Amino acid sequence: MLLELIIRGITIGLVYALMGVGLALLNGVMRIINFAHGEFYMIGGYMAYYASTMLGFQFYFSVPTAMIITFILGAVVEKLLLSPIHTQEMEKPMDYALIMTFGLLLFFRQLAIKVFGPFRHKPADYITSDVYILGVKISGNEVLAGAVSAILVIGLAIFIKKTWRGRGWRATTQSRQGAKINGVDIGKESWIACGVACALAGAAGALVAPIFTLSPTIGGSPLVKSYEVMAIGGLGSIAGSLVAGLMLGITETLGAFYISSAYKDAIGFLMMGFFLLFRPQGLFGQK
Amino acid sequence: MKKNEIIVAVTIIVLGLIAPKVLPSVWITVLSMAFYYAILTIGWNIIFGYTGLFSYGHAAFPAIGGYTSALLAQHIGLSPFLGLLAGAFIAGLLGIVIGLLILRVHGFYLCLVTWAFAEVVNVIITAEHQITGGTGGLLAPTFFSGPNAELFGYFMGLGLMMFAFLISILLYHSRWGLNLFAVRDDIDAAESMGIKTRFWKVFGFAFGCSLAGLAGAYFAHFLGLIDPGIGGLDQMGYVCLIVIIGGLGTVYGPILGSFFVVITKELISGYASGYSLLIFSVIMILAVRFLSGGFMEIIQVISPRLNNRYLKFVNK
Amino acid sequence: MLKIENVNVFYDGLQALYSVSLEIQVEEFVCILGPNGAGKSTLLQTIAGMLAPKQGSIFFENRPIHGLESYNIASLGLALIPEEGWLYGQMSVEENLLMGAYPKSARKNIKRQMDFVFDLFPVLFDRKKQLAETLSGGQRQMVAVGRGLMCNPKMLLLDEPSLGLAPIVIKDILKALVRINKEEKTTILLTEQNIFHALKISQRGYLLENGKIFMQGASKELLGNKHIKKNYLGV
Ligand SMILES: Nc1ncnc2c1ncn2[C@@H]1O[C@H](COP(=O)(O)OP(=O)(O)OP(=O)(O)O)[C@@H](O)[C@H]1O
Ligand SMILES: [Mg+2]
Repeated sequence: MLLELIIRGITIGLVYALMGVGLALLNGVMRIINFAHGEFYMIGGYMAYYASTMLGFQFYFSVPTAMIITFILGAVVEKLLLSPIHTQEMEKPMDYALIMTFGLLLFFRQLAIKVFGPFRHKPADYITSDVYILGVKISGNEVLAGAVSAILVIGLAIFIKKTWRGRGWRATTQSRQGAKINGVDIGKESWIACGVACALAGAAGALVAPIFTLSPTIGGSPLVKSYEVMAIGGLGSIAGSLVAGLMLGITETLGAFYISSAYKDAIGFLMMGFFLLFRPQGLFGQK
Repeated sequence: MKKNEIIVAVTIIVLGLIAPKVLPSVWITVLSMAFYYAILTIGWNIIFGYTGLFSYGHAAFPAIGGYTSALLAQHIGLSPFLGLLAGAFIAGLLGIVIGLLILRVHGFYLCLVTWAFAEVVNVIITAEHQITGGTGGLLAPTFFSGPNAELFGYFMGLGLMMFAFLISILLYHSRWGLNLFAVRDDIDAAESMGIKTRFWKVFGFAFGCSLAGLAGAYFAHFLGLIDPGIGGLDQMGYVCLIVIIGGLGTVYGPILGSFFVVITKELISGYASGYSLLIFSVIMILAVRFLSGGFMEIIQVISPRLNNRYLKFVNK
Repeated sequence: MLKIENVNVFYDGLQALYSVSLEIQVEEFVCILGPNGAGKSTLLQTIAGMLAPKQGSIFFENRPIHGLESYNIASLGLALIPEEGWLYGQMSVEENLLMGAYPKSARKNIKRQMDFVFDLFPVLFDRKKQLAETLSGGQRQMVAVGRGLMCNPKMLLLDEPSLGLAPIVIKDILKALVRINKEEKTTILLTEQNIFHALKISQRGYLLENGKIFMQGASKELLGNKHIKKNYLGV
C-alpha cells in the first residue's frame, strides 16, 4: 500500500513540478506572477478533450494541440494585457500583474462555464492498459502523465541551460539592464516566455484530464500547487521545483490516506507557509 | 474632512433613508448586500490601497467574523449587536497575528501567505462540520424580529457602512494615514524618516481585517445564515474587482464599486443571470489595463493627474 | 563615428543633460571628465538606448539611433560597459562573457573574442567556472569589460571602469583599454574620475559639469589647463 501511495505521489508530483516551473519561468523573465496559471491548465485539458472527441486525435496529437493553443493564448494575453509592464516601465509591476491576472482568472473561469458548460467531462483514456511498477498496478494514464511531465521539465531545464534564448532568459532574470545592453529584446522574450509557461500548464491539464475529469473550476487546485512548488523549491530553480513537486505529491498522497482527505490541501498550504516564513529562499533557491 | 466628503456622506445617508420608501422591497436585501461589500472592501482598500499590502486572504476575515458571532450567539446567547463587536475584535486579533507573520515576506509572497491562511480557514470551516455546520452553513439570529426585521437590518447596515466610511476618511487625512501611505509608496524612505514601518504595516493590515470581521458579522445576522461560501475565491474576486472598478486607494472607491457591482448584478440578473461575474471581470481587466484609477479617475476629469495624462497622450 | 547633437535628457522632469553635443571619429580614444553627478553615466546610457533623450539626435555611423531600443543598438556594434557592471550574478564568468555575444551578428566569432578577453585578463581564464557574484570587485570589472568586448564592438562606451579599484588594478584595466583601441581598432569613449590617468591615455577629452559640456580639447592641452588643474588635479 505504502509503495503504491508513493508511486502515485511521484506521478502527481511530477505534474505539480511541471506547473511550478512554468510559473517560475514567468516570474524570472517578467518579474510577475500569474494568478491565471491554473486556468491555462483547465483550458489545456478541454482542448485535449475536444481534439480527441471532435478530431479523433490520439494523445500524442491532442496533448501537443493543447500546448499550441495555450501557447498562443498565453502569448496573446501577454501582448495585450501584460506588456505595459515593460513598455511603460511600471513602478510596481507585481501589483499590476496580481490584479490583472486575478481578473483573468475570473474571466477564464466564467467564460469556461459558458463555453464548455458547468458539467464534468471525462475524456477517454489515453492508455487503456495498466502498467506494473515494482509489482504495483498503476493506470497507464498516470504513468503517461508522470513520464511526459518529467520529460517536459527536464527539456525546459536543458533549453534554459544550453540555448541562446534560454541563456537570455536567465540573464534577464538576473539583471534586466544587463540583458538589455547585451541585446535581449525583453518585450519579445516576455511574450515567448509567457506563452511557454502557459503551454506547460496546458500540457499538465491535458495530461491529467482523463485521470481527474474536467470542469471549469479545476484550475484552482493546480494553481495552488504550482505556488507551493515555487515557494518550496525556491524561485528560479528547476531542480528545486522538481524536488518540491515530488515532495508535495508524496506527502499529500500519504497525508490524504493516513490523516484525512479533508485536510489534503491544507498540508500543502502549511508546507508553503512554513517555507515562506522560515526559509523564504526555498530548498534550492539562492539569496 | 473636506467639504465634498461631508456632502457625499450626507447625500448617501439621505438616499439611504429614502430608498426603502421608493424602491420595491427586494431592493432592501440588495442594498444591504451593497453595504456589506462596502464595509468589506473599505477594509481591503485600507490594506492594499492605503498600506500597499496585497492581501489575497481578505475573504477569510468576514468568515471569521461571521462564524465567531454566529457561534457565540449559538453557544452563549450573545446578542447580535455585541456579536458585531466580537466578530470585529476576533478578526482584528487574527489580523494582528497574520500581520506580524507577513512582516517577513514581501510582494507576492505576502499574497501567497495570506492566501494560504484563507484556504486553511476555509478547509477548517468545511471540515469541522460538527461545529460549523460544514457546507450547509450555520444559522445565526437576526438583529431584529417581527415584520420590519429586514428594514431595520437594512438601516443597521447603512449605519455600519457610514461608520466604516467615516473612519476611512478620517484615516485618510490623518497623520496615521500619512504613515500608511509612506509605507506603501517607499518603505525605505519611510524607514529613514523615522516611521515605524513594521508597526504601521501590522496596523493597516489588522485594521482592514477588523472591518472585514465587522462586515462578516453583519452579513451573518442580516441573513440569519452563514456558510463557507463567504470566504471563497469568488468573494475575493468581488472584493478585488469592486475596489479596482471603484478606484484603488481612494476614499469613495469601495462604496462606489460596491454599489455599482451589486446593483448591476441585480439589474442584469433577469436576462443575463450567471453572466455578471464574467462581465465584471471584463470591466476589471479593462480598468486595470486602461484606467488604473477606476471610476474615481473618470470622475476626477478635472483633476491635475488626469490632465497630465491627457497631455502625455496628446504629445505622443 | 558617433555624433551627438543638442541632447537634452530628463529624469521624471528633472533635467540631467543640457544640450550636449559631441563628435567622435573612427578609432579615436576620447574621455569624458566631470565631477560626481555631472551626467556622465546619463550621457553614456542615453547613447546606449537605456534612456530616451527628450530632444536632440544621436548618430552612429551616420545612422540615427536616438529612437532605437537598447537591444537594437547593441546589435549595431555599440557596447556599453556600465558603471555598476550589471553582471549576471548566478552565472559563471564564461556564461557572462557569452551573454556579451548575444546579438545574432556577434555569435560567429565567439571563440576568437573569448581568447582575446582571456589574453587581456588571464585571471578570468582561471576562474571561468566561478559564479560572477563571488568574484572580487576588480575581477567583476574585468568581466564587465570582457563582456562588452565579446560582440567585437566597433565602439566601446566605458563608464568609470576603475571605480573603487586599487591603483594597480586600475592600471591593468586602462592598459587593456589602450590595447583594445590599438589592436582591435575599437573606438573608445571613456568616463573617468581618475582624470590624470584618463587624460594620459586618451587623445581628446570633454569636461562635463552640471549636465553641460564645459570645455573640450586635446588631452594634452586639458592636462595643462588651469581650470582642470585647479579643480580636478589639485595642483
Ligand atoms: N534614476 C535617476 N533618477 C533621477 N535622477 C537621476 C537618476 N540617475 C541620475 N540622476 C541624476 O542625474 C544627475 C546625473 O547623474 P549621473 O549618474 O549621470 O552622474 P555621473 O556623472 O555619472 O556621476 P558619478 O561620477 O557619481 O557616477 C545627477 O544629479 C543624478 O542625481
Ligand atoms: Mg556615473
